[in-house]
Amino acid sequence: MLQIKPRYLLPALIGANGFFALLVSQTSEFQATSKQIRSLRAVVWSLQQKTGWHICVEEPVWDTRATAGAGVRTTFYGDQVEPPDADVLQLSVPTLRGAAAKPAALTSLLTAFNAQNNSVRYKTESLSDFTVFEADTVRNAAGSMVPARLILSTQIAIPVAQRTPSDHLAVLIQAIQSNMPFSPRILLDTGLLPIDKDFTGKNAPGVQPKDYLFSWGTASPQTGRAALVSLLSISKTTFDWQVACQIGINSAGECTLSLRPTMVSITAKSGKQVLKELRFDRGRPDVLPPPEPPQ
Amino acid sequence: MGFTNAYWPYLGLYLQDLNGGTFTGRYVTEFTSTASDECWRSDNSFSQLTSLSDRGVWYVGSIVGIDSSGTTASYLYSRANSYGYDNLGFYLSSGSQRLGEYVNNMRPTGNACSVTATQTMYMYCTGYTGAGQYYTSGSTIGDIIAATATAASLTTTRSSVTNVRNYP
Repeated sequence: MLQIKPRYLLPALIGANGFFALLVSQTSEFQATSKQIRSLRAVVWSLQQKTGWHICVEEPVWDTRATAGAGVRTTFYGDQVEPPDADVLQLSVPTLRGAAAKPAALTSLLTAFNAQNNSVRYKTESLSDFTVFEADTVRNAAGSMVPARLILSTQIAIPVAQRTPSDHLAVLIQAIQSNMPFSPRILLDTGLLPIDKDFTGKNAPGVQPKDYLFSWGTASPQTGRAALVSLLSISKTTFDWQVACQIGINSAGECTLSLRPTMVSITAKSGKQVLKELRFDRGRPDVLPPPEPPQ
Repeated sequence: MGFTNAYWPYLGLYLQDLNGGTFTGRYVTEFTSTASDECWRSDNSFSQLTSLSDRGVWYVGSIVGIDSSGTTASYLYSRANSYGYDNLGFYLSSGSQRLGEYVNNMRPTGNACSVTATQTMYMYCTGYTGAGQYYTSGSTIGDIIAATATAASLTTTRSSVTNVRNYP
């Protein structure tokens, strides 16, 4: 359960360098309480909706357990013990306005999570437009805090070649999978749809996969994270990423890399607050989306 | 029109017929609101869905479908005052994996759950940029489009037309 207490609404302009400028409702004060599994992810999403900030969260590859112990859940992946059961995260930020608000708010979020949860500790890293919450240490099956293993920290090299955005991502995932020193299966999640249209801005009738092709690769070995940032820097839509891992009992488990446009809360013509995906914030598409429909 | 081929088993196909004039040769597109995903739970590894439709642009008079490779949109046949296909549902292999998680989510209760959005159709005056006009489906501007999962099947709905696919 995530509870958000909105305060005074103030329209603010974002995406000034992009094609679309949207009015995002920023609150002067931000408070959130999450009492659910993946509380950090939940609070990050609500913070993004208020600000449009590009924030990413990378869970660790959790430790495999030989026995169920406490907190076992039956899930799609079988008997599940990781991620840990519901966290509690309370965050209160005095203001989201002003140039200093972002680093202050994200530092508060990091401090709050690390103080209120004992299964994993995060650190933050700034990469291009993204602030990445990376798991730093994690409690293992024996109960000790140990360095976190992150799938995107895997060193990879990707041959430069012409591919579609979807295929570039598939190759990146494959490179991580084959170079990881640990064994969860990696899934790529781009919602229900391929990202090629949003990535390239090409959506005209008759567009074929060959029209999405462009050349990309890594000149030298680098982390999967750096390669991902390099690839996403070409996109006409900013995609934030999340890594979530599910590890069962005596199982290698799965880690999912999710990519999606930033979601923001905006004021519609009707005056209602609605959620909108921030597409083409970095480049003009070939087909201009229609204006907001009448209410 | 049923679902796509075996490559994308959970992607419903829709063919639209237009009434009230002659529109062959015009382009139409869609404005789709952010999806509401009531199937998702916080312990799912996938992100909560925010989109449900392909944001397509169609040429009225032409029916285009995904070919058997599952990736290439190919012209199929002409049909005056009609366009298609509009794809709605769980695309990509990760879409099937997500559907598996969603079905598992509902097992304790057996209740169906849906992912919904509001879709409004827009017709351009000329080409596929610039001015145009929203048009109605029935008496309303904006239809609820939905993908509803039960323990046994997936149903996609657009303009009250449903496609049902039982899980294998």
